Amino acid sequence: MRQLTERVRAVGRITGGPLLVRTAVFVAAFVGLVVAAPSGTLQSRLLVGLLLAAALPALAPRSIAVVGVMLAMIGLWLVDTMAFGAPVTLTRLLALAVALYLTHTAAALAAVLPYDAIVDSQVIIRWAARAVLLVTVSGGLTIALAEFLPGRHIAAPNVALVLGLAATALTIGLLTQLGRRP
Amino acid sequence: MRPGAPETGDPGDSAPRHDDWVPTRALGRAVLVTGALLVAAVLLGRTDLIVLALPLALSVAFALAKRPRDLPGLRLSTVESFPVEGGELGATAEVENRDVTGYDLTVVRVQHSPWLRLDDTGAQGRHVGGSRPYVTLVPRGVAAAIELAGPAVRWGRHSLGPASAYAVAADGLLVSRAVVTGALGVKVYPLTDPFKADEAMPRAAGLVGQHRSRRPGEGGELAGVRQFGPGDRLRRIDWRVSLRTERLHVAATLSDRDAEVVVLLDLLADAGRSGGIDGTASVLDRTVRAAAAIAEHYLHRGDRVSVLEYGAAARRLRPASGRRQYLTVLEWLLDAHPSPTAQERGGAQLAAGISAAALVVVLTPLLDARSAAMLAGLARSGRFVVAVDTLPEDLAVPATNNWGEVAYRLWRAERENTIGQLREHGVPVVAWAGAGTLDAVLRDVSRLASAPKATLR
Repeated sequence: MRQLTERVRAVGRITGGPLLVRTAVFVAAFVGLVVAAPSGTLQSRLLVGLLLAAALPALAPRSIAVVGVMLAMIGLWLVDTMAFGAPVTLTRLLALAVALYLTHTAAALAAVLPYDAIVDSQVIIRWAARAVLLVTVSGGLTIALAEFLPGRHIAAPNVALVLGLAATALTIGLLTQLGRRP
Repeated sequence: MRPGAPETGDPGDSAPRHDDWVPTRALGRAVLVTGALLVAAVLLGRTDLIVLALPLALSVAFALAKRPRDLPGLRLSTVESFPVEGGELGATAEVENRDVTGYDLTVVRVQHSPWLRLDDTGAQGRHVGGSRPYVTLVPRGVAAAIELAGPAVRWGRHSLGPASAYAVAADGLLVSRAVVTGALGVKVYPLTDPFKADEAMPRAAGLVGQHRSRRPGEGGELAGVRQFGPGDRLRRIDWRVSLRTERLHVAATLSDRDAEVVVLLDLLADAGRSGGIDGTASVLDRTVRAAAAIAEHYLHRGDRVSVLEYGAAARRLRPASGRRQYLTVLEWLLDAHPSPTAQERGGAQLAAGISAAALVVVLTPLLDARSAAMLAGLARSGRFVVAVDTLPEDLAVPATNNWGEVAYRLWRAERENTIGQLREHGVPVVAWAGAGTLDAVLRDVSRLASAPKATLR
């Protein structure tokens, strides 16, 4: 009961900046889930489920819910394209990539902003500008890749598979090292 | 959290530690999702999954290309304005980026006493209330200042700080260790209630002052005209009378005397809830504000004032006069706290340290039976005692059960009985009412003082 009272009081203390960022998390997660979900299954009951799922990272941006929702987007995308055989269109792919990234970056900001903080608007404006810049660069690269790559599916021989896995391991190792180095 | 050595010293004297900046969950999440997408892309031969991983991988790579090394600097300062209750107080928390890369944001928290209602007035310019963290942008090589301002609503020694800050960099992928400053002490002086008393003073002492004495001497009050005698000053000669009577006459005056006022604070018990300058006043609030007002009044008139504490600490401020003593009294009052004790000195013991000619003003809520005994003891010792009742009129009755109200009324009746007994013993008890509180009783005490009386010593 005491915890519930404290939670209610906490909701009353929330300020505009953190509320805006959490709303962005919710919107990005919901859009990502809707884009990734198979179109035939988008009924009202499922939409309610997606709404609830999208609300989790907005309510608890420091929790594992964020990564859970991001993996759910990828899972739904794979199910739709592989099980239901939906075609991979560039628009839908870009929309999902942007939603995935925005969910991640907005949750990262929401996680470091105390819910009752008085936030300088420059912080959010600068964060949004960086996100837009990155989305633009990624979008440009994606369109270039779409032109450059032979198709959506690559019939990979074993050598290419091993090389691809090695490249993946190298990328992950590099990103991890970037995070660890002093 | 540790004492903030880095923020006070030179930036060069604290080498960066490996744990100054730590990765957040967001970094682990980005690497995990990117890795999962790339592995799936390779295993399933899907290029669209690479496209999904691209923004995440790029964001991590861009963000961590330039990572910060130094901790943010933090400094907390206040303007020494010596406010009284209700006065405005200002403080500044300055956070500095001494790094080669900018911080995405810095979260600053300033803890302070609840009696200091400090709000951010800098970036937002609006009243939000409460003690909230502030989030500000700190580019590289720049110091951002957070201005806090608001009223100090209660007297006392309050703490401002400690302040803590942590910075976030690399698009929320890295967060710094918190730096903490020390706390600052803020003195808020009590607001003196308006107080005035007439000139009646039971027994003046000393050779200078503003009270008329009954002894002839150098002074401003005309006592009469008498014949010139040896030792009289020439400038005292009344030429008009001398010419008329053809004998030298001088204008005789009464000497001006100062008086000693002892303000005795009964700190054995406190009651009521203090709501600051705009709210309800506790016993301690009334006691301190009344003591400040009485001291200010008599010191302004040139009398000597000393302050005593009736409680465990038994502090004592020596008698003195002038503005310096007024400031000393205010400073002394800041440390007044309820200090109940099992063994307290009686009135006779207290009287030993009080001048026989002094007027003793006892500020007491009469909550403890020992307070009444002390008052009676002082009166028996021949001191001129006036008791000022500092119990608030609007004291809330605790409604624990049905008998609470009855018990409270019984206690009130018993207290009235005690006050009546004290009056019978020659100790006037008046409720504190600001200006004019002591006038009537001081006249009575003066009249009693002029009458011969036998005292127990």
